[in-house]
Amino acid sequence: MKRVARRLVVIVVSVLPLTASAGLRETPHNLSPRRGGVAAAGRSVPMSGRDDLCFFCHTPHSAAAQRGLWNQELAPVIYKLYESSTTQAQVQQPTGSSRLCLSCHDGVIAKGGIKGDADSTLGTDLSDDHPVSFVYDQSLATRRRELVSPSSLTGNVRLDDTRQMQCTSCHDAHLDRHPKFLVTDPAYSGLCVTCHKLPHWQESAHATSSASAGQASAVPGTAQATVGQNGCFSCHRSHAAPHPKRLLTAPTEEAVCLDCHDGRSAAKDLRRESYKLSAHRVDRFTDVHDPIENPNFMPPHVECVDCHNPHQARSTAPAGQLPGPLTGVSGISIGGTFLREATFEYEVCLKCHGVTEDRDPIVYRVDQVSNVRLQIDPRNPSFHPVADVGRNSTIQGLLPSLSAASRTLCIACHNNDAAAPFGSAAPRGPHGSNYRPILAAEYHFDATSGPESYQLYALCYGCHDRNTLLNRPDGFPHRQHVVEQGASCAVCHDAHGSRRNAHLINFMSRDLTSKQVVTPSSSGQLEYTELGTGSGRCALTCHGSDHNPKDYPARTMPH
Amino acid sequence: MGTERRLWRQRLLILVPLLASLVASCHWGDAGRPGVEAVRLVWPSPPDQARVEWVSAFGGAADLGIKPSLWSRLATLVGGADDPEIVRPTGVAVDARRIAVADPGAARVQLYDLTAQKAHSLTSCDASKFAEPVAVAFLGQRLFVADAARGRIDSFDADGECVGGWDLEKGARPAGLAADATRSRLYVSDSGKHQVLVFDPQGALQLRFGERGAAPGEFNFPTWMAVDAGGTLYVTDGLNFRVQRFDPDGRCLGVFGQQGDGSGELARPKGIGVDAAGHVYLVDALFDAVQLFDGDGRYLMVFGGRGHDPGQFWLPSGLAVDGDRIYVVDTYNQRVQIFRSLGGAS
Repeated sequence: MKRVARRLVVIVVSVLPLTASAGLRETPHNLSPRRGGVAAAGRSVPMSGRDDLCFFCHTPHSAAAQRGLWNQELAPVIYKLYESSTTQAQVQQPTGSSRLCLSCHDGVIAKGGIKGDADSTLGTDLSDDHPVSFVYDQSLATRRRELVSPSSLTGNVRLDDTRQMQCTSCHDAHLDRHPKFLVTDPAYSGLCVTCHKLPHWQESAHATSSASAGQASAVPGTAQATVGQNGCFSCHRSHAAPHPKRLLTAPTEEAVCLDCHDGRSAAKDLRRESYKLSAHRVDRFTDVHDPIENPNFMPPHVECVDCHNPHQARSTAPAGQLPGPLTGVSGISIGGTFLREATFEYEVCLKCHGVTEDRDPIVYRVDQVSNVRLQIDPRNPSFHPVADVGRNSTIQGLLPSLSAASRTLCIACHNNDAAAPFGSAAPRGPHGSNYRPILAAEYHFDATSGPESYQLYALCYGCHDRNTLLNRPDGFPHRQHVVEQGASCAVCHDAHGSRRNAHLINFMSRDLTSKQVVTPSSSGQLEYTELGTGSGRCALTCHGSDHNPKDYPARTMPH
Repeated sequence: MGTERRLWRQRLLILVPLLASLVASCHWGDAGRPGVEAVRLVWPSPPDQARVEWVSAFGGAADLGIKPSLWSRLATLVGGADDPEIVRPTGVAVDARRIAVADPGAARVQLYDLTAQKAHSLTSCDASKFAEPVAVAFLGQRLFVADAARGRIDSFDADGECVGGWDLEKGARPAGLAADATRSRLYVSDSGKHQVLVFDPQGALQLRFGERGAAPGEFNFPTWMAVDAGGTLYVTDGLNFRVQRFDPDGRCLGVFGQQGDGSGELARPKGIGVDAAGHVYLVDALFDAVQLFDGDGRYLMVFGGRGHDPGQFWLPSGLAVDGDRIYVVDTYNQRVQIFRSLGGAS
């Protein structure tokens, strides 16, 4: 096999000069001083008499190396111009044939890695180009992940004889059949995916999009194309990338996304979302997110790619629980385990909201737990049914479409307030809202929110029927508290869940303004005790009223 | 990368006093070891007479003894200290008190004023930002910058303030600059149209010569240039693999050099300089070396070699001669190295 390969190499090498030279003539790599003519460059070129375009890059071997007049002790030297050895090279120092390319593509003789017009201050190192002159072996593929095994690199993308990736892996300087001398058609990510194996990329919304690329960066040589056709080039630029670290087309990651997700290329306009009163402020962080970060140890941040994996995101959910736009994103399980790929929506949220206590909660609770993962834990006496079906099978006043067996999503409450559940032009999702903390509808949780109205607690009334809650003669006297005293639902209920009590009861100890709300009763007690179905006892002081304690009589609950 | 560079700088700091010192063949590590003879780094090696000596190298203002300004210290705080000051340099210019480094890799020009102890980072002139500033030259108090991608020449005053500039004609690619102080003129090599342009300091075109071709006086990618004391212009004729000399009227005085991978030949000729004795220093990027020729093009000697130790290069490009000092732009080692010509009889 090896021998056959070697023979093939010999054949290819001996045929190449003729074919390459012929093909070269019409390309920018015809460097002859007389285009199409015979190059005569101050010496008699080997193989002269033939139309030789090779020697501009392939320096002819010397038959006349000289001894320096000042250096009589040193015999004439033949220089090695492009050995591939990495023994001397440091990171980013070109070796092998890349030395030939970069010795002309230096900005002086020919175009170098030209900086874009981006106002990037990051681009001060060499890494704004795809790296070259590194060994691409199995160890790299394993370490780096999402790379194909070098042994399966077939087709036009080749490594050099020391297994290094070089300029020549993507560009064949001899053949101008694809734009930029690329070895294969770059459309539909064709070139990049030869090495970069991204799970489920081909089914992703980006790979299959037929939207006009609009403002987005284009695949070389195709000005007007669809996002799918542009493929990787929609977001990445292999040379002179304005954001060097991930070779992105804009200096910040949100600018890359918003180039299209502005209502023109993509249907929804997300440009204003992070500037709403309450928002995931992706504009405040640049270059913090790391695709392999572990939420247990990462610095606090939020970027678009924390919740969306642009290589896998899709508009409709694949089989399973996870909404399509969250496909392929890491998460934290309800038990606190790091998941490389989340399977439930809440697991994505828990990456940040379920790891530690919230250092700056909006209100303080009696139990002082603000870690959402602990609050919605299905082992709690009560919780909103996000991670599992709820515990209270006798729950009163749900709207007819819901039952005690219903589950819900974080997005049900934490959503863009302008987004209707379906069909709205406004983008869905907890990007930003005019109600904090990124709430889908108005919900006042000041200790005294003023006269009750549907609007004031629209978020709760979206599922919990207002009429039942306020007017049932046999229920808890909500009217007395919420309407007559003007207390917010949030004074007694902790919407995520309660580690101690049924009915989400977890009293508010301090409100938005750090004012004390619920304090111990005159005998020093501050607790709720469940006395049976629909019956409980409160020991506390609130709005000047001492419940020391106060029982709410048992009632027979309708089923 | 950052660690590598820091290490390199630390080593340099530690070793500068010893570097009067190293044997040409010895590596970094040996110099600090007890018992290792401290020898100067010179070329050619003994017993040939030493002609060129390694002096120092710099990758930024700190290496030149310029204390960082408040601004640059703030920038370090914000941007991190790991970013190199010089990224992918291609050109260098030197006058009595200043050094300028053209750095298309960072789209900026570093101007070091050794007298005023100030470093300027020039990224634009007026509102227009540099895209690919590849060459620099001093003419009087002025600093001129050639931007190859924008086809433009910009100029700055002694304090690094933009004075203004001018655009070249469409299709031009300013690749190299050389100043003739005696005639108060600026030479611009144009690798796009294969010619040399001569401007006065205000940007008025005085002369142009050359076209694409291989005959004497014709060019195939003219790039780096130098002017000697007598006003003779030396042009690296890149892809004709030769050097051409011109009188101030643009008449070709001579041609030397031939392509090959042997000593005394040229594979990728780049930066060029001429000393007072008329010796020509010619960088060859693919040799990672500087070859010396006499005025008639006879090969004298070579210095350099591939690597990142002092006196070694990685795809070097520009070169400038200032008195007995030779400045070599060591592109992919992200530094400029300084050598001294030791003179001696030809």
